[in-house]
Parts: sequence; C-alpha cells; structure tokens
Amino acid sequence: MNDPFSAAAASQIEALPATGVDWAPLLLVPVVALAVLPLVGSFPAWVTLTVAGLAMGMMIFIMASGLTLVFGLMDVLNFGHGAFVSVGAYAATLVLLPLAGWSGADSVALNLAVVALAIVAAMVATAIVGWIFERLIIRGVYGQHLRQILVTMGGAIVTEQLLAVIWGPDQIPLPVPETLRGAVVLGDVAIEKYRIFAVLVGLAVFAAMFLVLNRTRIGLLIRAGVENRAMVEALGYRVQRLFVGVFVAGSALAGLGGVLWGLYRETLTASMGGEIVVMVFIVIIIGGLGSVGGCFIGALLTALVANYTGYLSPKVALASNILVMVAILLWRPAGLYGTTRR
Amino acid sequence: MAVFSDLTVHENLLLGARQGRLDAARLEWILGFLPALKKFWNYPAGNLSGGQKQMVAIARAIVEPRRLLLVDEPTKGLAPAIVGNLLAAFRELKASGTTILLVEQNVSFVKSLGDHVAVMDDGRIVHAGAMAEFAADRALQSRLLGLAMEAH
Amino acid sequence: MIRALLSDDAPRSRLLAALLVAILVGLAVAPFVAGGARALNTAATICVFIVLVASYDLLLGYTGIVSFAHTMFYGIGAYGVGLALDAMGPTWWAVITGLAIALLVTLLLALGIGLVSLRVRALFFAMITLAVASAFGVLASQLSDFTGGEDGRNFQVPELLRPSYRLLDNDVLGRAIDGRLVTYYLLFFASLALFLFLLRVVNSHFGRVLLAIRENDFRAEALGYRTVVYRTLANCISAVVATLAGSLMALWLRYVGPKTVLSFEVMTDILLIVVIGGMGRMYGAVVGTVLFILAQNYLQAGMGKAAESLAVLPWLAKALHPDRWMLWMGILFIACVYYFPSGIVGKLRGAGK
Repeated sequence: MNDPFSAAAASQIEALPATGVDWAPLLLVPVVALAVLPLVGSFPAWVTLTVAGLAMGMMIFIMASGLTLVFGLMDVLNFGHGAFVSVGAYAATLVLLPLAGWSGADSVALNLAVVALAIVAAMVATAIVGWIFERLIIRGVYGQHLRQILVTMGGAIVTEQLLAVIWGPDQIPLPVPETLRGAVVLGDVAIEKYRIFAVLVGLAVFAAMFLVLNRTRIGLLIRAGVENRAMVEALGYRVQRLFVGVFVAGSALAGLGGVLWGLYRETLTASMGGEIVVMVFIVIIIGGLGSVGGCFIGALLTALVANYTGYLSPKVALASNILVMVAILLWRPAGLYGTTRR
Repeated sequence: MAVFSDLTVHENLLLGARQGRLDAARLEWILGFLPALKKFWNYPAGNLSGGQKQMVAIARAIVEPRRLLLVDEPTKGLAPAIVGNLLAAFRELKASGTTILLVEQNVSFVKSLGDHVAVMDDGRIVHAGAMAEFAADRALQSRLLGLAMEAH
Repeated sequence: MIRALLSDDAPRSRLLAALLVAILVGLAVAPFVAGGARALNTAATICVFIVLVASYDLLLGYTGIVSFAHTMFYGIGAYGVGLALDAMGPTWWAVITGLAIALLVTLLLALGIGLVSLRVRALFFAMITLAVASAFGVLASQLSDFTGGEDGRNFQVPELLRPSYRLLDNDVLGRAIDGRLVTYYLLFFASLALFLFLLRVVNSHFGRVLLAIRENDFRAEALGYRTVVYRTLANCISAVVATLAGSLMALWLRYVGPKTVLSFEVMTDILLIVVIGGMGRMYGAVVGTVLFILAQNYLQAGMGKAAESLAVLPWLAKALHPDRWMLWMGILFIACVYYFPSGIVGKLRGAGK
C-alpha cells in the first residue's frame, strides 16, 4: 500500500509504532508440538506425526478459509461447503483419469503439470458451482439464519446426489502421480512426499490470502466489510458484488482442498466433503468466525492434536477435535481471533 | 460517527479515497488540523478515544475533494481547539467550492460557517433564511433557540 | 374430551382432520390389515418417526433453532436399552435401567450443549451440535468392545415382546396374538402418548413463550423471559422425547447399530420430513412422516420403473434411479423452504379455510 504520509514529513509529530500482534494464539501450535515431543519419545515418530498433522491441517485450512471469509463478510454460513469439496475432487478426475499416462510417467514435469491441470479444473468447476449456488440458493435468504442453514443443507444434498448421477455411485480410485509417491528419508526420519506437497500448497494459499487481504485494495474492502458491511456500502462500494467474488473464490478454494484431499485418500466418494466439513466447522469455530489467521492456527492445531493423541492414546483421539474446541472456547469464548461483536 | 475499529487509521482513510490512494498534499493539509491522526496513523481505529474516532471519520469524509458533504454534528466530542481547526478547514472546503449540508447544535460554529440556515423544532422547520440575517437578529435567535443562546 | 387430548389444537381443516383420523385408524389396525412383516415394519417405523420428527419440530419449528444432534439423542435411547438388554439379559429391569441411564446421559449432554452454545446464536448451536453428534457417531462405531462397532449389536428382548411368545392361544381375525403384536401396540400407544404430550407442550404457556422467542428473542428477553433458559429447556424436552423414541425403536428392531440410529442420513430424513410436513405445526410431523416413509418404501420402486422406461435418455434415467431418491427429496426440500415454509399442513389449513 502506498504511504504518502511517510514522504510528507513536514509535520513534527512522530507517528507511534503500530500496536503489537496478539501473539498468544500464534505460539499455540509450536508450543503444543514441542510439548508432546517428550511424550512421544522417539524423534523420528514425532517428525512423522508432526508432518502428517501439518499436511492434514493445511488441507483443512484450504477448505475452511473460504467458508470463514464468506461468513465474516456476509453473515452467511454455508452448510453446503462440504459438497464443493466433493465437486472439486470429482472435477479433478476429468483431468487425472484421461491423463493417467502423465501421472504414471517417469517425469517430474509431466507429473506436476497434470496435478496443476487437475487443480485448475477443480477450481474452475467449483467456482462455477459456487456461483450458481449463490444465485439459486443463498441469494434469497440473506439475513435469515434458520432458512440459510436449511437451504444450504438442501443444496448440499442435491449437489452430492448430482455427483452420483454424473459420475455414478461407486468409489472412484484417484492415483497419486509418481513423483509424489513414496517418502523422503533423512536419517531415521521418513516423510511422505505427498504430505510435503500438501504443506507447501497450504503455505502458498495462506501467503496468497495474507497478501491479498493485507496488501491490496480488494483485501482492504473485504476486511472492512467483515467488520461493518453497512458502513462500506455507505462509503459507496458494492458489497454484494464483492461478496459474490469472495463466495466464488471460497468455493474454488474448497475445490482445491477437494483435489488435495482426494489425492491424499486416493479414493473419491460423493459424501467425502460432507465427512470433512465437520472438521472444517470445528476449525472455524476455534479460529473465531470470520478470521483467516485464526482459521489457519485452528486447522493446524486440531490436526496436530488429532495425530498426537492418535499415537499416544487412540481412544482419546476419537473425541480430540471436540476436546480442543472446548479448551479453546473456555480460554477465548469467541475463538482465537474472534471479535466480541458477533 | 463510526469507524472501522479493526482497521488502522491509515486504512480507514484509504477506504474513503475512491481513487485508491491518498493524495500527499491533501493528507498533509488534513493532518495539519487533525494532528492526533498522525500520531495514531498505524493504530487500529478501535483503540482511539471517541473524539479521535470522530477525527478519523471526518478525515475519511474529506480525504478527497467532493462536491457535496453531508455532515451530522462534527463537533461532538471534539476539544475546543480542534473545533477551531475544523472550522477553518470547513471554511477552506467551502471556499474551494464544496457544498456542505451541516446539522449541528453548536450555534456559534454554524453561524461562522453557513450561508443559509434552517431551524428545526420537533421535526419541523420553524425558520429558514439567510445566515447573515439570522445572525444579526438577536430577538429571532432568542425566540427560536431560547436560553441555549445565552450559553454560547 | 378430544379437545382436551389435543390441547385445544384442532386440525382446523376438514381434509387435514380426515387425513389424521385415517392415519390414526390405519396405524391402529395395521397388524390386522397389513400382510407381511415388511408392511408391519413400515407401520412401526412410522409410529416412532412421528414422535422423533415431532420432537425435532419442537426445536426447529417452535423454538427456531437448528440442531444436528437429534439422531444422537435417538441413538442414545436405542443404545441405552440395547446395550443394557445385551449386558443384563432380556428382563424388564434391563429395559428400565438402560432407559434411565440413556435419559441421564441425554439430559447431561443436552444441558451442556445448550448452556455452552444457546446463549450465542442459532448458527453456533447448529455447528456445535453437528460437531458433537459426529464425534458421538465416531465413538459409537469405534468403541466396538462396548457398542459392537459398525456391526452394532443384536439382543434379546423381554419374553413378552418376543415373536415366539403367544399371548392368546387362538388367532384373532386371522392373526396370531404374539409378542410382535404386543411390541407393535407398545410402540403405537407410547408414540401416541408422546405425541399428545408434545402437542400439550407447544400449546402451553411455555410453548407460546418459545414462539415469542422464535419471532424476536430480544423482545421476549425484554418482557422478562430468560431466553437461554427457555431454549435450553426446549432442547432438553426435545432430546428426552427423542431418547424415548430411540428406545422404542431398539425394542422393535432387537438390534442397535450406528447406521440405523446414529447416521447422518437419519438426521437429514428428519430435517426433510419436518420441513416438508410443515415447520411449527405438530400435525406436519404426522402427515410428513407417513408420506415420506410410505414414499421411501414404495415410491422408490416406481422410480426404478420410470428409470427403465427412460433408457433412451441416460442422464434422466440415472437421475431417476431409486438410489437417487434423495436428489428429488432435496429439491423438494429447498422448494419447500423457499415457497411453502408452512409445508403440507400449512397448505391444507390454508385450503380448508
């Protein structure tokens, strides 16, 4: 952002430094990760668990980030978001199955190209589905939470069913390209390549969102709209148009998450999005509804805790998401970066 | 007046600028009469006091030249010194060709700025006319504004 | 007498009244008319689902909050009775103990969820119930030593309810008076009583306060009603009735498993029935359940025939495949929310006037 003020230094009053960041939530993930190291005991096992947790967390974050922004901006919670995840994964098959030769080829370039194409296909498909969804289903029920929950749930059912109509009801295998198979071995530590890939994609998405939100005018408008939509409208901006844009972008991110998650599971079912969406909801509650940063931390935290408890005490792991959520809400009732106004 | 509490003062002003960037000379002029904004430039506006928020809102409204300004009680919550600054700024805006529709209880502020005046009582306009005439007619003022006049 | 039973909430439409009487009589004589186990099973499912759906409507229609944990409470009731019968043997004591434990667990969970999330807002409640219910589902299917896991558990019911038991030696109207018949009438009368109880609740002062909160919680609070207390209480009543419905279902099926009593499909069925039948109208639960379950059991076959005849249009044929039944229900559901928020019963009442 331009800052003409720093250039115009005629006035003698000095600007105070910017206020500090709220650090406590940022420390949560590293503190938890380090705290369990002695409990896990073995360093290689800890690295494996941590990377697996980070990979899962990044995928959840990608799916959840769009949902939380849409909620913050327009007060719309889309219970159909999970269906977009499935749509993305199925759309990826349009590329991955015909181009199976590329994924199987012994060429890093071809392997990565086919994944990139699949991601593009998935994001375009989910963006279109999201656009239609907003038009047909959500537009009529702004500001009415009860009907919103009901129609978006209905929309999810219809979307999942349509996937089964188009692709058939059976599971679809989705092979991971050669380059992303297997593990990287460093001494005693073995890390699956696909997990590293998922972490990198997740970091890239987070960085891109951070830059867009904090360094562009659209981002400024989104942040302002999240806080007070009416006032942005009063300043003469069309929030509705902005919202459709964010909704479509959020849907596309769900599609990206769907591809990553589909490749991770290596099989697709129409209900895969509905299964993961519970985790997504928990993450955005933990993060604070509407906060992308909180959503990022929440996603990593829940996924890591799920992995650690799965290793240390499998029975506890079954309810670990709920336990993390309760603990966070006891600490900060509106979520990590929740605003009290909501 | 309301500001975006999660955004910094700088970002609040950027939102008022439809062209997407702040004009350095105009900003210098604004910060000249609202110096506190400079101090809290990178602070979230929500952390400011009521009067300072008021300044942010005023600055946001005039950050770019406009043909018409609708202003509702801009002096509320401002320190007297700042009210003087604001008056000078509004005069400059007026001189540069901006029409200002001002709703205000501070009669002396109004008198030194307006060309026309309308007095409202219980939702209805009970007097309308030229400000010069109104300012000169003490009897009219005390009839319309009552004792409140003496206080100013 | 009838007025008192219906809590002064008459159907207010001849067509609706006729439909309700037909359903009541139909369910009452079902064992003697219905040929075969499948038809009787359908009738029993209808009885239990009417209660389950009506108790959900107390939340959705009358209190205006969306819960995704209703099947959890239904499941707690079913598992409570089922596991107790499995562990303690087929005695009535086992039924009572299981039911008591289930009710206690239900009350604790409903209170806990309510107090944590009902003070915030409807959306929060919906999300938290979804999260808790799905965690509960995972627990039930993973703690297989205790619950039987994905396979669930088969168990023996008390002797009186067993198919082999004969209450009378002779057949009546060509039907053996066996334990199955006794179980059916246990379900029928218990469901009828629970339904009338819910009708009483929504037509009481308490019910009217709930409606006031649904319309404008801020004003209701200003009138001096603690909205959190009322909402939490409604949540508890609804959960307890769902638990009872679950235990009835367990007695009928002599089996509990996550698919039949805890799955999200059951939850979406309940949602669809409430909305299609008519939110905020107890009779909607009756009409909606009967239509939905009859359609589910018999109309799907018709879809299959339609699909075969449309083989020339492969996409439409696929969409009409019996397994795609939920596609059409989903579309109907969205249409109802948009265009007929008062559902079938609202339409019937509107037409009767």
